[in-house]
Amino acid sequence: MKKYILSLLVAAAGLLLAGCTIDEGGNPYRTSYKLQSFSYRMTQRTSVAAVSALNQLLLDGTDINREGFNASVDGEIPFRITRKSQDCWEAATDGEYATASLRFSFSMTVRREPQEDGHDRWTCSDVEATQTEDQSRATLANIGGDIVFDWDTRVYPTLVESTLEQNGSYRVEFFPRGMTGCLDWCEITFSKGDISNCRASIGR
Amino acid sequence: MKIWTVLALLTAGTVSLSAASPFGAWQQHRQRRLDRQPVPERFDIRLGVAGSPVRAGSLYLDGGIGAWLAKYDDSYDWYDNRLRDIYSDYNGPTRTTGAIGIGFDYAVCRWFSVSADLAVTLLWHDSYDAITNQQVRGGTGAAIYLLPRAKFMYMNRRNVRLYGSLGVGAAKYVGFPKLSYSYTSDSGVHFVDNSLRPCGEFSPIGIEVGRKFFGFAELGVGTLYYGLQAGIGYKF
Repeated sequence: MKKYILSLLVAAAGLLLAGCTIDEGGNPYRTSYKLQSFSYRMTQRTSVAAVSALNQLLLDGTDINREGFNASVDGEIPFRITRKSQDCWEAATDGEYATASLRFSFSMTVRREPQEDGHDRWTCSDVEATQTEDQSRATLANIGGDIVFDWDTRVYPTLVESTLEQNGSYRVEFFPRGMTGCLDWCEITFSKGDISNCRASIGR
Repeated sequence: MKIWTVLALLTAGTVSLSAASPFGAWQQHRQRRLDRQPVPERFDIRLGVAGSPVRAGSLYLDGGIGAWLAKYDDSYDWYDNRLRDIYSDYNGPTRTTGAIGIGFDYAVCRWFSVSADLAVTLLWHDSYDAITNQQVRGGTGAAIYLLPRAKFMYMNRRNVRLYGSLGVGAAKYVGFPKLSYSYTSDSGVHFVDNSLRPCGEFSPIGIEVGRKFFGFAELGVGTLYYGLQAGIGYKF
């Protein structure tokens, strides 16, 4: 009898130890962090990409006040830089850039303002971008004024390091699954190139 | 009262006599020798439950590396969090039965057995809408394992046996959406089926207690389970 009881006890212990729940579940996707991360990347694909492209043209020795240049975001999304006036351009995708899974477009006005220290200040205004995937859409716009890029120059004993730093705020609104009203949003503020403030709201 | 005293004395006398007598000593010696003998039956059948099926759980929830690559196939680094991910359905708690299995052993010799295990792990969870948080559907997956094993007896006694085992086999994952799926890229729609996979299990130590009818428990790591498997068996 003892061995039967022992066998059953061992089996029962096994059943208990087998566990029942292996994952607690929950939504790891629609979080403030994900919205912020998505928003940050949209800023990188718009203002930063346009200003970087213009600076690269300058470094290459190109006369950027000449009419029209082609550039790309991360070497993938083509966009056009069109001169509007002296030291003023429009940077925009040619309609929507589309892959099998998403569509992306942006437009903005970029101005160059020479500074006393010899460095240029770049100002992006009317920044607008839209990314659409299936029925979901996200829009980006600058808020509270223009996005301004200033050079930060640091002098070291053996080198001089200059960094173009972004200042300004964006608001990214999310319209999931064909919704006409914004469900979630994220506001992201840059100060001297770093994110100084970021807040996201997840709607119900 | 007297009668109980007499009976107690008689019992004590009998026991001490039998232990002290040559016949009693011989009987104890014989029993000890018998206990040290290996179990004579060559076949056994076992039923067991194992936990936790970590590998099946991870495949059910995340898919294999193929699913992960497909997710990013038509995209670039900067798509690493996409709208469709942010607003995709999410899972509630994932539950499992553990690996429930039946096994057959054949003792080739005193120290070595071969066995074949057939086990099933059921996993299930509900999916919820990312926006409304309403339940949209439920899902159940089953992992079916066929695992031939080599079993090495460290100690083989009639009533207690210690062993280790190593098995390699195949697993079929049914109802694992992230192993059998389709995806769209610039070159078209692709269908992928990664549901038949190799599996293996290593158990460094296990114990069987009992003779014909026995209980067993073993520690292991591998495709079936990480942790403990326990159950009952019958030798014949």
